Amino acid sequence: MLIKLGSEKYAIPLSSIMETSIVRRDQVHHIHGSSMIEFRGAIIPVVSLSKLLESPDFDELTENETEVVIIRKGEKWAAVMVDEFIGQSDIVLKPLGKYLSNTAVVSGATILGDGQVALIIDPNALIK
Amino acid sequence: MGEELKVIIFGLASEYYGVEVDKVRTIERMMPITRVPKTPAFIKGVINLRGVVIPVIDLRGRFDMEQAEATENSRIIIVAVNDLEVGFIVDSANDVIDIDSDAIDTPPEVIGGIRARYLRGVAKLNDGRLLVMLNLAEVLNKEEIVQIEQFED
Repeated sequence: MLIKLGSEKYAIPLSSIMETSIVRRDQVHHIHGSSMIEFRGAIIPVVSLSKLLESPDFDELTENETEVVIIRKGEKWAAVMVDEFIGQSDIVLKPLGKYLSNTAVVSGATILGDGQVALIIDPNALIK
Repeated sequence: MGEELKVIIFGLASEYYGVEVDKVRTIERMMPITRVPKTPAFIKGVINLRGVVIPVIDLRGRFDMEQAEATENSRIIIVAVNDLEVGFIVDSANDVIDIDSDAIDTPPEVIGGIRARYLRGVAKLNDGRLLVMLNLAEVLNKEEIVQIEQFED
């Protein structure tokens, strides 16, 4: 699935996405320094993609309602805050090249219809 | 007489640098660059070069020079060394010339330090300009980059 963070576009593999949702600011609980939300009866951590990726022009703190992508790694779930959903699309995974082989969080890249390069997020790196 | 080398000359700030033609794949105009998070500052991101994703380095940043905005003359030089394919952002790409490998002097020891490691030598051109020949394998040296990453962490 393609998502937007400000002016930047990223792709998250659908295979690890459970669903998408919208969270209001008052639904986010702060528990011992980390943000959590209640989701389908469970408490799951909230991951700020904009902080993790040092996004230059998006910060979810300016929003009252934030779109989240619920991802899964085995039994663990997490809610990833994004700016906007763009939608599902079939993409071709391309390597970043040997020079950038060990980048955290990013597992590869793809070329969008308009010729832009979008990076592919590695969901496994978002859940510890 | 030594070997004839074909060299591409490019400008960076007020200096002229040279890379051997056989290491250069193409020279491109500036194009949209996608930022890659969690990389050293001189790695500008990746570009789509006719369907291949290629990392792009700001050579000014790599050489600790002052940053500058891209201009009309800015170019991305795509080089291939030791099966790494990387683009360099330079201020201008001017010329292709032949130089005699005997005309390349090793950099004087005074320059010293880390900087000299990625310099292959200095060549004097017929018009009196000095051309800094780069040792591309060292410019792209991963070990040094890993060190920088650790330093930043």
